[in-house]
Amino acid sequence: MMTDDALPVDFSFVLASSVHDMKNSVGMLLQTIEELSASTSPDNYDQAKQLSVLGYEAARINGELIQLLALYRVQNQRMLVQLEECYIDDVIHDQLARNDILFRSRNILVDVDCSEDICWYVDSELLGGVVNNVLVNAARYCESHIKIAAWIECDELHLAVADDGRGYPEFMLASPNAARDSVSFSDGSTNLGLLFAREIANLHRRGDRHGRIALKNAGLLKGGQIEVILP
Amino acid sequence: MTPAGFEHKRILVVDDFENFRTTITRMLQEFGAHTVDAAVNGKDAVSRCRASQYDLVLCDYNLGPGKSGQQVLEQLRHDKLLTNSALFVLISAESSKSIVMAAYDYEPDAYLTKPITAKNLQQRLERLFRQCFEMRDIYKAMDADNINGAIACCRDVIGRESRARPLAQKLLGRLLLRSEQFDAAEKVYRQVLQGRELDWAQVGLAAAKKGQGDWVSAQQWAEQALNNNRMFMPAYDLLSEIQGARDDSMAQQQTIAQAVEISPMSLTRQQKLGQLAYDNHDAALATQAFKSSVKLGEHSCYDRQDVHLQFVRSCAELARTDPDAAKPYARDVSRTLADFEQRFGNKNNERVSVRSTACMYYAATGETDTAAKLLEQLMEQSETVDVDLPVKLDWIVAAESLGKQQLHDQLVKDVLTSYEGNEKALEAIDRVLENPASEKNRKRVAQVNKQGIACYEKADYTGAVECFTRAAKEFPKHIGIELNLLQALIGSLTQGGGNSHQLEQANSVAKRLAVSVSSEHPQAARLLQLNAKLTQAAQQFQGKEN
Repeated sequence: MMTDDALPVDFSFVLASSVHDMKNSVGMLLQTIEELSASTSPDNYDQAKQLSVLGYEAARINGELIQLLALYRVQNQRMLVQLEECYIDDVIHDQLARNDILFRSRNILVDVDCSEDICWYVDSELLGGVVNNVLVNAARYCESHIKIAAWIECDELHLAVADDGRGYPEFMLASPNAARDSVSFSDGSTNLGLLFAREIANLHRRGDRHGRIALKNAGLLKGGQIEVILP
Repeated sequence: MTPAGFEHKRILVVDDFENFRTTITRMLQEFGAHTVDAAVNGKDAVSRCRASQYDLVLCDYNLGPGKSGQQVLEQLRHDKLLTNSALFVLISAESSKSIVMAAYDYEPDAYLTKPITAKNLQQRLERLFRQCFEMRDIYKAMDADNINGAIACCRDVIGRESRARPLAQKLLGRLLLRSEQFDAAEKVYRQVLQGRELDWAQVGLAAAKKGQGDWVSAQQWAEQALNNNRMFMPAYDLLSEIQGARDDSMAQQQTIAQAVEISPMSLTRQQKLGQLAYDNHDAALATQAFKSSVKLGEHSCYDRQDVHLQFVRSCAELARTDPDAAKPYARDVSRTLADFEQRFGNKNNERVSVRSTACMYYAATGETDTAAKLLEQLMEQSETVDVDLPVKLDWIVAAESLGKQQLHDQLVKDVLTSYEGNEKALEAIDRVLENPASEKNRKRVAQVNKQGIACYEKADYTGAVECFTRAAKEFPKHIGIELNLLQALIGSLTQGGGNSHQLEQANSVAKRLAVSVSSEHPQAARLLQLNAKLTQAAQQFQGKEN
């Protein structure tokens, strides 16, 4: 049996360092896949399909690694959160562009409902990470349609991503902002994405008010819907 | 011409991977760009920017050996090779915020994280071009050094409610601070803060308060910004400036040390920490910070030759007080000394400077013969070269370490004569003197002595010990303070219920004094008396312990 003495280094630090390395490799991988896709002839349907699978899986790994690193930093209180006044449609369109190939290859229709003048105090990079993740997840569970909407309500920003899929399982709906107890290895879903979204929302503060997330089914597109709500 | 169009933009792509350069170049051409140049490393990038003016530089952070992307940006801005409207975009595989934290004086206009998709790149760049277009009058005025014109244009953009408003607001505050319109700057920042407690606005307000001479509010606002965001580097920089202006060099050192701990990659901050620690006689920290500065300076336009010499000087001081702690730096010191002339030139002045510092270091680390020979040669040339004060101080310290008392006294006399009335220089000279010569340090010594003696006379021995310990750290060569410290320690041991730690301290102070107080010293008789009392006190104390 392993004792504390056997592991003189902080394991979470080792993990974070190697995740960092992995992320750089996956970044190179993604770049190469992107280049390959660009140079593939549009007639070669099978190859395009395979490349899209490669791209999607690599993007998923990349997203997970980014989340892991971010959660590590949150836990060690080394997360730099810098609130700036940002135009929310810019944040949304950045993430749509990032996943352009994914949506096109899967024939997914993405609607945006966000007024051009919505400007809110957010860390655009962190919030962008959350939106990216939610989008990649929605691409997996939707039938063919995703909708992103943003609005201001009661002096809070609401950013919702809805799909036309089967929706979230019951147990996830119950307590989306609960403590970190939702990691389940048995069904292959770690809910890391939710944990990440919750932590990032929570880091957006105004006085003593914190950001939060909300999940529901039968949302804007009759499927699952996640809302990030920031004060 | 559309504001966001690529057609007439002159673009430079910088990356050490050919693959990446061609991919990005192809993308940019597809967006409609005609002029896309490429550079393979930092040096290449800088010389291309010297040769022609670009509207956009897309630069990878990691450029292999040589300058990093951040250092390219520093050099371009430092040498004014980018106009105010030119965009610098840093690309990296890292999550970009960790790089932001290294930024000191200059931040890029945007960060892009790899992998980069065509659509993403196009969208981001078009947005930046549009923003630039909306800010164009401001930048034109800034390029013409017309600050008031730029300020008026900023107010225009803000009034138009354009998308560039948040950027214009930030810039407006900075321009007002730069042109010393502190009241107007305060108004701008307060307005922003009404919307939300943003860290940059809090720091801006602190800077405005500092400009108005309201140190207390300035410090409060800077601290408020750090409360709000512990990782916000500009707040540390400003706070330390305020503490420096208030003559609180210990607090200043602590502030910069915290910033360096969070973001160790900033060269200028490491240099500052080294100097603060050196001035505060914290040789261990100074050595560490200067070592990092030498390393980080390798490819930076902010590298300075005095920083290299300061590394060696700090290490010599460390060797004098704690030889074991200095040993691990020995290899770095020899490399720094060996590389010095190649890096900073081998004209007579540089040669004399580096050899003087080396001589002082050898004398401190026990290489007496080498040091003595060097010092002799240096003294032969001393009349013919024009060296600066720190080098002369090196000679003084070396002569002292080598026991050349006569030479030492002569050199001290020389510097005191040539820098008479120069308060700043005298403060630097105080470092090698037993009794300070500068007005500021004389006052300081008198003040701490008065404080300590007051405690002693009230029989508050603990207070006296604390006071003189602090003073001895500040003025390590001052024999009077050290004697007072010894007397306070004896008082505490005999009357005040002292502890074994104090006995240890008393013994080491006595040991130091035995070296520094010669038999001809005016205070020799007092030391003799105190030593006798210490022996008694030690016996009495140990009797009590048993």
